Amino acid sequence: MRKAIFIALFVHLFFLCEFFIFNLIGTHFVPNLLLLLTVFATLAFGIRYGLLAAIWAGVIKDSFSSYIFGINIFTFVFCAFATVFLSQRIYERRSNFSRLLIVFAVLLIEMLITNIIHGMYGSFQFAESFIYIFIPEVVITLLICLYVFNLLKRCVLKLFVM
Amino acid sequence: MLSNNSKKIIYLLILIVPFLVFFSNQKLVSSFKFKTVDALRGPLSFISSPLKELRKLLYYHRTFDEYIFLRKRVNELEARLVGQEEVLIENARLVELLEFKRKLIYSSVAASVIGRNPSRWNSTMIVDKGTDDGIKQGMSVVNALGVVGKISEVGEKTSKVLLVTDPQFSVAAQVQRPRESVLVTGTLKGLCRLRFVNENADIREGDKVVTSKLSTTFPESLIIGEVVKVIRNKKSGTLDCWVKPAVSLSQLEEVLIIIN
Repeated sequence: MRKAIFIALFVHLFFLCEFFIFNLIGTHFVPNLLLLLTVFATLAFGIRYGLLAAIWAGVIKDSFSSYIFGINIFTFVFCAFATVFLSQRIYERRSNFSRLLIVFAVLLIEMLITNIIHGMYGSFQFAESFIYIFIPEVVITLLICLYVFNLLKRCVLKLFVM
Repeated sequence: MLSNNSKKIIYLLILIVPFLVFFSNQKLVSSFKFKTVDALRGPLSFISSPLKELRKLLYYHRTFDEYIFLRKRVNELEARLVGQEEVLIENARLVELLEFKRKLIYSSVAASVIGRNPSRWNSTMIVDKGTDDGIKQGMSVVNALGVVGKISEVGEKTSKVLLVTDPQFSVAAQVQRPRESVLVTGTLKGLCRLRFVNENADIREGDKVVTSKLSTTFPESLIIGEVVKVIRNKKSGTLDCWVKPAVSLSQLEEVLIIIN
């Protein structure tokens, strides 16, 4: 129960952070904090809490989006499963490089899925989305990824007996 | 404890159900979406106020430059207005003679911007007016500088505005100088694009793009933006035109929603 409350609080907090940064500085400097939280929740607590984070984050993102409801939920849930798959193959505890690799792979999967879904309902704009969405998102998200993970890890260690 | 097979089935269902939600009636989830938006409206409004003040401090120079430009423009327009009244009276008389009815005044509602949706795939924003204020889906949203977007979804107290740079946005338009009819759509670049452009069209950088009479959503002659790039592909015979919106979408604080 405590883990669920922790995840719910941080989903809201990270969404507000994304909102604040986006409206202050602009689209190119917004890290994908909700995806980082999903990846962290999956690695730290397991797939169940990862799915909880994914669904909650997806619901909030879809509620604010004008596009079809369910896109972000599906994308985040898929990314949570992808995190489990990748963690079994490339993740090493206390290895920053493997964390960065997982986050990069999950961001790539997220972009591909979103592109495919957008392509199903509109036009496929892979080149534009790669240059104007994926590259800025990857750069800024990877830059703060380790800091966010350490922050969340410290919160978890203080709140829960591991 | 559940068996491995049961767990796999549950995980598969969790993956499939959101995918099936795509094909559901989106109107059914609309009220749920706005309940989520309204639940976060308090914290968003709470951080919007210092955000606006912070933006004013950070972008002071941009605001001051804009003020100088607008001041100069107002003076030019005031000078042009002298003598225009006679032209307007004559135009109204001629239009009446030809039995066309035109609305010269539009009723509108002012709305404050709560904030933009922090998504790279969509360009939408939330405003603080909804069905309680007479807002309906599809209404056009403008400000003094030009077209902002249109209402995509409406809740009781808030609405979502699809901005002019959103890939889903489109409006019938006209390039003012050559009088070319085009369709303006948004892109992921943050600019707009002209579609269905005649390959021999005489469109140049600096041409103004305005809404046309063919638009069912927007009143005609509202400024959408300015052509910033024209790429002529001689091999395929196509013309690629990029338009910068007239409205600075990142600095919007108030907009007008046209009721009728």
